[in-house]
Amino acid sequence: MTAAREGVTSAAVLDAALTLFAERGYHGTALSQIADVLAVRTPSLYNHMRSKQDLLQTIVSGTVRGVLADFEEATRDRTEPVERFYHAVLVYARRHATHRREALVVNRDTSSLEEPFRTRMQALRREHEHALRGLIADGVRAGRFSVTSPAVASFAVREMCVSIARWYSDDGPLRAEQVAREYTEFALSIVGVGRI
Amino acid sequence: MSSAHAEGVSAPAGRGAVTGASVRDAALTLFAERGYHGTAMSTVAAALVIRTPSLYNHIRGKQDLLESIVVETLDAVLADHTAAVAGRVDPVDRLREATRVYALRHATHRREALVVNRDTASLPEPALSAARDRRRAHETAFRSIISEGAEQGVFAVGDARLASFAILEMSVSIARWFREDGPLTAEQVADEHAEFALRIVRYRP
Repeated sequence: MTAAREGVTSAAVLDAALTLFAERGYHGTALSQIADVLAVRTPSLYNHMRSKQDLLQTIVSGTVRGVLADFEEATRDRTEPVERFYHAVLVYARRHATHRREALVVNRDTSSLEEPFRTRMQALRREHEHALRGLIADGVRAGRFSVTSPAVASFAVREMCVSIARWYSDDGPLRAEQVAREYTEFALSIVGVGRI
Repeated sequence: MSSAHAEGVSAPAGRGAVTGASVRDAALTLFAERGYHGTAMSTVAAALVIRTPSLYNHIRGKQDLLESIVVETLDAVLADHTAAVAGRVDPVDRLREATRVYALRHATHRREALVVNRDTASLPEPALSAARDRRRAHETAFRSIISEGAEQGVFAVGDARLASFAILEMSVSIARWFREDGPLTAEQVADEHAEFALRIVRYRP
């Protein structure tokens, strides 16, 4: 017990919380279960976090900021609309295969965040949605994409990528990179690349 | 929501109007908003302006409510699918119609979709397996349309399973973002998704 407790870091606490939140949901996870996984006593967790809510906030914040940073990085040095869209979708799809737990928690448990944090996180998620929608609108303006509604197409593309986290398995027949590339191809089809 | 109101199961005026259907409707709204685990039976009772014990004149319990919501929704999804493809042989028509009805249901029955997708995992066995079997049956039927189209050479898609997941999940997500007072009607959104499905499988008219 003592040895295990000494070995516990804040990162390990966060990681155990992430696994349990993803499996059982935020409401379905007790701090005592996180402590059990780490083989420490529940009070020891308070050396590493303030509350279960605090853990959820750290997970959601890190993830939504990561999504925005991915987007920025993928589009920064690119100007051509198809390229920008392709790379923005690729990083988003890939993240949902490589960071499944984070995606499951953000998508199911954001509603359990306390205010004002919840509103702030929802604003950041909306920022990504608007950015992707903007890329689709750019492609339509440039005559490269053909969609009736950039908003509907953007929802479809994002949600299809998000769903990877729900079914993807590391020991399945497909690798994360293959799935990400296939889904990015689907996204290009959705916005009608090559149909004009 | 509109679905319930269309069936005449609107919010009860008071104590006298409470029926099994109105209890289910109130529970459905609350489960969709707060999640199954986040909803107490006392909250359902409060929404109906009755006392908690009175609920049990109409239903057996919270889990029972969830089970009936999930099972009835999944049965309706399968029935929609069967009706949509009945009598159609062309994979293009079959995929378009199968996607259209599935997408449409997620715009018109948002509460049911949110609960099924978030809370099915809270069902005990054997209800959980029964629910999963129904979902799998729908996915398999849906995927077979894509495989048929690929075999016939009208669709150019490499992995029917991936394409099927992508189409079904983008349709499911409609329940999360669709608003009745938004710029598009449920039918328009459903038609858009049917078109996306044909694009995903690379159907070239």
